[in-house]
Amino acid sequence: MIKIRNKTLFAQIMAIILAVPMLAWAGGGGATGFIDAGTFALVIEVGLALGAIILATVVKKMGMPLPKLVQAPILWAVCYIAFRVILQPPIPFSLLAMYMGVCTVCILLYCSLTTESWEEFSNPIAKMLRANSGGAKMSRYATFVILPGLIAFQTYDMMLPKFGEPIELRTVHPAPPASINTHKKVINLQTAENPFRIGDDGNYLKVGDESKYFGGNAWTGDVPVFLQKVQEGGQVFFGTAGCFFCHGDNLDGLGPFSFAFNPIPANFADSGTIAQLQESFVFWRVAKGGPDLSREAFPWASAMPPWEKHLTTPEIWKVIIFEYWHTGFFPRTWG
Amino acid sequence: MSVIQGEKKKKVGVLLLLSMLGLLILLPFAVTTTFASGEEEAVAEEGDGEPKMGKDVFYKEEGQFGPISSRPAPELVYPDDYGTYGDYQSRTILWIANQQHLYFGSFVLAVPMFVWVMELIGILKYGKDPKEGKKFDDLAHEMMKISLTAYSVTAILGGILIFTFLALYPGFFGYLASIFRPVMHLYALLFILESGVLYVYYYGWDAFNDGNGDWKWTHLGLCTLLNAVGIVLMVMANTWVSFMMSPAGVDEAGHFLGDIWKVMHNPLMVPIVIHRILGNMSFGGGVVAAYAAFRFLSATNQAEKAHYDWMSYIASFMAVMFLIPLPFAGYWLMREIYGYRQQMGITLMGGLLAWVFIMQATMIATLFITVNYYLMQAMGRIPGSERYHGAFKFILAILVISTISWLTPHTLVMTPAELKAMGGAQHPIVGNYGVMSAKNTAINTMITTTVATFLIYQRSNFNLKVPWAWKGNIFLVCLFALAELNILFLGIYGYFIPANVRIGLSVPQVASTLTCLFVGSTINAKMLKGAEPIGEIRWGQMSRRGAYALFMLAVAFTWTMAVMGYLRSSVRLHWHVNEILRDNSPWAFTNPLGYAGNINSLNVLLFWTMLLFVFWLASLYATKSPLAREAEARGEVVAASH
Amino acid sequence: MSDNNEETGKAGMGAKIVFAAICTAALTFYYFVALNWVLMGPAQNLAYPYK
Repeated sequence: MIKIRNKTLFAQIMAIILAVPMLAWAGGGGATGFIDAGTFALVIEVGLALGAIILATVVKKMGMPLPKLVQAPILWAVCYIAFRVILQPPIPFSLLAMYMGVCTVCILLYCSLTTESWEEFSNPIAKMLRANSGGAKMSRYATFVILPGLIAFQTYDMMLPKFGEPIELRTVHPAPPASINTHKKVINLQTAENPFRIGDDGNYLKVGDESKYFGGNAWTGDVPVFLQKVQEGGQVFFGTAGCFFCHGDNLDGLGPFSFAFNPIPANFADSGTIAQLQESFVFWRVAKGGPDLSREAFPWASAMPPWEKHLTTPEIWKVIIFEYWHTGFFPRTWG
Repeated sequence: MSVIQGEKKKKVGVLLLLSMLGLLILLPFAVTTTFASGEEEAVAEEGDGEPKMGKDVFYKEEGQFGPISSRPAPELVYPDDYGTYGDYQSRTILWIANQQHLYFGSFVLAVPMFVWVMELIGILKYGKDPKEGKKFDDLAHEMMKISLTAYSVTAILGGILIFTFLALYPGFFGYLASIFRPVMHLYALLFILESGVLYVYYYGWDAFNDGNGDWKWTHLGLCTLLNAVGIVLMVMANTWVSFMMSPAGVDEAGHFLGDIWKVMHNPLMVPIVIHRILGNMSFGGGVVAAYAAFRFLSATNQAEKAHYDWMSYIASFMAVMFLIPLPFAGYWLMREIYGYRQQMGITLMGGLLAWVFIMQATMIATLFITVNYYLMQAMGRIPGSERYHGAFKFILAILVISTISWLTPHTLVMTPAELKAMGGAQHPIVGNYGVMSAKNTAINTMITTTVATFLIYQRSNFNLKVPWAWKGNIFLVCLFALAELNILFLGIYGYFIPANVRIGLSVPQVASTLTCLFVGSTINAKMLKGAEPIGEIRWGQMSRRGAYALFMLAVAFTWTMAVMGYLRSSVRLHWHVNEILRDNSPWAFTNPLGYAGNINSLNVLLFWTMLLFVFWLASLYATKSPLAREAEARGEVVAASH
Repeated sequence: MSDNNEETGKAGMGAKIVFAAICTAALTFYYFVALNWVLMGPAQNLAYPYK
């Protein structure tokens, strides 16, 4: 008896030791901007998950295991809260539906892993459906009123006219054409290389090798050739073209004009944009902009101007160098 | 004496027959080369002595030029070069005809491969324990029985497919036939060989059966031949498909350049063939497992239940064995596609068709979760497995986390309002799971976990008796934990390096998984030597949920095949033959996802309806006549009275 | 006395297990490091055969 109590106590203390400082640290960090919102959410989630596991263990050790039929909805609710509330910024409904679908299936699987747990889960339901007692009858009536009611409500909700913009399956990175024609020159997008990717020895700088220039200051007097190109690219970004008005000072897509666009400008600092693309792909997008998106880029929702009309080919290549340098990403290469 | 001589004569005869049949397999290659050279001459005569040379669209360096040996690819015109059935989309009709033929085709190709393995095991076991050997032999025989009915369905569907081609796409099919002319005929001729071998093999089962003697080995030889012909057939049909995706051996105008081998050996042929063979095996195993599950659920007595429980286990084991290398083969195919045309790769993985990959990912995740779930259910009949019940939920948790990361799309479906709320097309947290590093990590984790579950399954019935068992356990735990850590580490490291280096990371990840598979299962098998069973396995007492899981597994296989087939085919966009022959029909557009999903589901439904008929036929064949049943009933009464 | 013996015996086993676990973990760790080391290089050079 004493042993079990000790264990419970131990588990509780562990829970407090683990969860409280973690939450406090994350909370403090989140509030003061010490860590970003993403990490904050992640820490909270891990904390909650650990807390839930410990709590479940404690309750079980105390001799009050939760029946599977109760565990299942609790688990479901925890998943829902995690994905709907804690995970910030909010994920789109389509993703939420997918995640919850997986969770629902897996919770059902969890309840039916062994014959014992399946019986524990299904017996009360079977009893409710079959038993002749008053309670069972009442719950049957209630269920068969509530269920159609819910369905009716859902139907009503679906039929209601909605005023939001429709869902869009926008192809963010459409397949590029094989080659483009810019400034009277044909550029083969499969093979084109950035001509300003130059190392100290004046030769082509292999992708990945530029990491030695990351984090430095390109705007001091005497810098290697690569950083000179970065500097010139930066002049295009902030001067000639004024990319920063939309794409932001930090290249995070939060420039002063960004709020006016829908969809908002590309966030280069995100690992899902330029970090996933070849330099030639970026060249195509800068040179041709929204008007020359390929067919599959439906509905061609892009306010990007065709910059070939205002910038020279070298300027475009340089600004691309600058974008990769500034964000610290490497362009995609094959082989 | 004369009996022995007769036996000898028979053996010589059989060997002669077998070697003749074997030589026939070489026929395609012999004839291909003859045809090809013959054609070169013909053109040379036609011209002014010098054949006109064309430049190969794919082969570079030497062999780049070849004599123009056919008419160019036609400029197809609608409606002249296309047939229609009213307003209905011709492409959808062809799609369905193709998919059904492919389903049955891959099923009848896969089953003989299993049967080969089963028969071999049966022969090898026969020496030690004739009863056990016969069990495997009967299993092989029963699998073959299902395959035989499916074989005729395949042939019928093949006929339907050809007629659909001729009726709806005469222009395109004419071009394809002009290129593959010699090979297409060989294909048909090889089918005769395949049928001959198949019938001798199946109907000769009992006649050849002398336990593990020479006749039985000859019978196995027939099966080898059957498989060889089957694989040649499949490779031939695959070359047409891969030619449509990535043509070679023709010039830009579509002229055939005289070398049929170059046309067949086009850039995507090898990876597609490998991927398809593995896929067929998995699929075949899944379908046989579903058959066993069907018979398990409908069994009326304990003996039958036990038999089909066992059969479903064997079949699903085979399915899983080939499922595990399948993602790697797919990965290789994808690499080759990117290598062939970057555009094609982007259209598939990041562009227009990216969402189809999410559907596929859902199916793959379903497959792995179902396999684990089935193994857990199957452990319900194994005494001693209770020791591992506590681990089940953690295995499931790992699978769920991997699935969620595996399913997260790179391109999200959202309303513009949601897009604004999220602050960009990529989510700052979830977005990280949409890229390849996360996917590779997730799938390797899922495979490693499946391997672990399987090892648990294997040892669940035993008390280990080897003296070094504790060391073995420590080693296994370390192996799996560190392999998983390595997979995770490589996955996370992938975010910090350029894409070309990142591609390299997947190889050590895969190697970690394979280490677990091979080293883990070897050590586990060694540890089980002389182990003492805790109780007899209660075959036939698997929960019904396990049988349903097998259905799920098989349906997931079929759905995956449907969706990936659609994907592979539609990546050509508006081309019949990529960059050579343009599709000018009104149906040369990419279907909306919902439509594709519906047609795929329809295909799956149609296939399973036909397959259930085949299953039913098989069980009908096994049903005893009323007279026999009466006799048996009397026999039982007699036995009981003793 | 016998009780004591059993205790020490058990402790010995525990230490052995811990020792073996650490050794195996270290060895497997080195194996995976070597695996990464060996495979990462050639993997990147698995150039596309059809380039």
